[in-house]
Amino acid sequence: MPADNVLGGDATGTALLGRGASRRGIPYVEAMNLGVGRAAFEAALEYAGLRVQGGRPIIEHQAIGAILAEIAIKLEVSRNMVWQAAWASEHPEAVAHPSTADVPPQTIARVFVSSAVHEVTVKAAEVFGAMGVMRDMPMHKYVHDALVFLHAGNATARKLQIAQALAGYRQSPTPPSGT
Amino acid sequence: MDFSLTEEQRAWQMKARKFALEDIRPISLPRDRVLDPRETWDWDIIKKGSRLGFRTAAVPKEWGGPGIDFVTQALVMAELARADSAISKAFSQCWKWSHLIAAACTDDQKRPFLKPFLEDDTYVLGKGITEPNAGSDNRLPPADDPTAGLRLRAERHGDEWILNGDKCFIANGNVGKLFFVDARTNPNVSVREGTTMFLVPRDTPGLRIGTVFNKSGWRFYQNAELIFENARVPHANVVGEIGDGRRKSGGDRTGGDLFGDLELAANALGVCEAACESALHHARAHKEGGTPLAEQQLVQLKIGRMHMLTEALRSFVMRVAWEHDGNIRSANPGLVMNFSTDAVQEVTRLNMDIHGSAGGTIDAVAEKLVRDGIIWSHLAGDTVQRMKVARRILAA
Repeated sequence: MPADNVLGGDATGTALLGRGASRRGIPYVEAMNLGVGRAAFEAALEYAGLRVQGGRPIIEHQAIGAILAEIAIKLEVSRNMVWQAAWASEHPEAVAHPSTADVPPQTIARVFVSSAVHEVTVKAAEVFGAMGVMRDMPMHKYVHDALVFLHAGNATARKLQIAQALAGYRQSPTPPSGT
Repeated sequence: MDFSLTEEQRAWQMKARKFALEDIRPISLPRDRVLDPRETWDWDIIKKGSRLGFRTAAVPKEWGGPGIDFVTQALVMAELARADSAISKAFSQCWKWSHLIAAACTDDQKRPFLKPFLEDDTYVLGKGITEPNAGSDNRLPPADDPTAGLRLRAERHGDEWILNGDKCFIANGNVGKLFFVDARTNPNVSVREGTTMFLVPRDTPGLRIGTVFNKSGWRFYQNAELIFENARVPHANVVGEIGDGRRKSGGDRTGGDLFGDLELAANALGVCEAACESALHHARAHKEGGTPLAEQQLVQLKIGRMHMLTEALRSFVMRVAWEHDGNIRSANPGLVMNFSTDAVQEVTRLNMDIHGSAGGTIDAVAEKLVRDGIIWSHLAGDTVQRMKVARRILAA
């Protein structure tokens, strides 16, 4: 491989892993992850308005209404987090001030969104009852996709990364796996 | 309180453990991977389990069965589920309704149905309640609304009843030889008042099997559509009294919710045990960044929580089984069923987390356990299943 092909011009890895690099991280994966949650939410919302049990559409029951509200809250907070991370990637100067803690918005978004959307899809599937676990229905795919995002998100490693940033030292040479 | 087991209970537990490890576990993942939902079933494992007594375990001794008590039933379900949750359910589904044959059928009904059930290793049972527009409404029927709940119609013509309508998600639907079917005999009163239960053999004229549902978890266990088109059922096959169907299965009898609640909780216990075993094995066998996973604090915290939930579930399951054997009635069976949902889903997810910390693809066993665990949402832990239990507490 020609030396000129090294990204960033040198082989120290600073272009990819250096301090502040993750602040420039663009929350692509987080946005896709959010989309899975939104799809599950919209399907559950529509179904809850159509499905009649207990004498009325199930969305009118407190128990189901509260589930949908909780889903909406989780998605709204997730969306804010993704947008903030996207904004930060275009405004590195705003988050690069030495007085701010080195907790990259994209990492926060990744940990929070993957966990929130996993919960969102499981609760959305519950609204569908048995139809929520059928392979021929989209809801099952949302649950499974969210599981893959949760798994690949490797929240444990990311939390340790944040902890190290907060403490100001690097403990392990192992970077977080997953994409 | 004494949680020690009798020799007989221990013997059944050990027999189940041996069968689970030697025969069920090797086929668990291969069966789970079969894509066609009609082909996931394996008659060889059912026949072998049947010859060991697992299919008929709950039939009382006076009717020629092993008649194991509830504590033993819980132990066996958990042991089988540890190897495969769906295969455990395929066996215990037969116990659920053999309780009903023993408790609710007349002697004239027991003879023609119990005898072949005891003798034929492929005779499995199912129960038809759920319909496309009647799921939660059967579990928690709105009072005084005749339009809510199951609608499959049964009309009497002389010595026969004519059944018309559809059932869906019926357990063992594609493989069962005998079904207990709830049908509306009076559409003008609530489902609780107007439902009658029928014994419906698989070869009943006018009954056919439709879709076999393609579930993400519990792949081995077949849920199918039962379609009734002028199906003719003899009057002699009415279980209990006309209009008494839902009270019979939903009330204070072992054939209904009491066993079903314990069944799901005991099965979940087996899944939790499998997840704990999987997590311990992985944590001991793998390193990350040079450190064994088992020495990492966050892995230790997860392993601790998994075991805490599993042991809490075990204590609760065994207590409820023991209460059943002592005829002690309370909201506990419902509560342990609800709790088993929370436990099985968190424990299987934590196992996946532990496997995930090394990155890469999802471990096949860990992933299957998560998929099986998600089945509990709509069976044992949705809001209706929780409110049903809460209302029992509030009404006491």
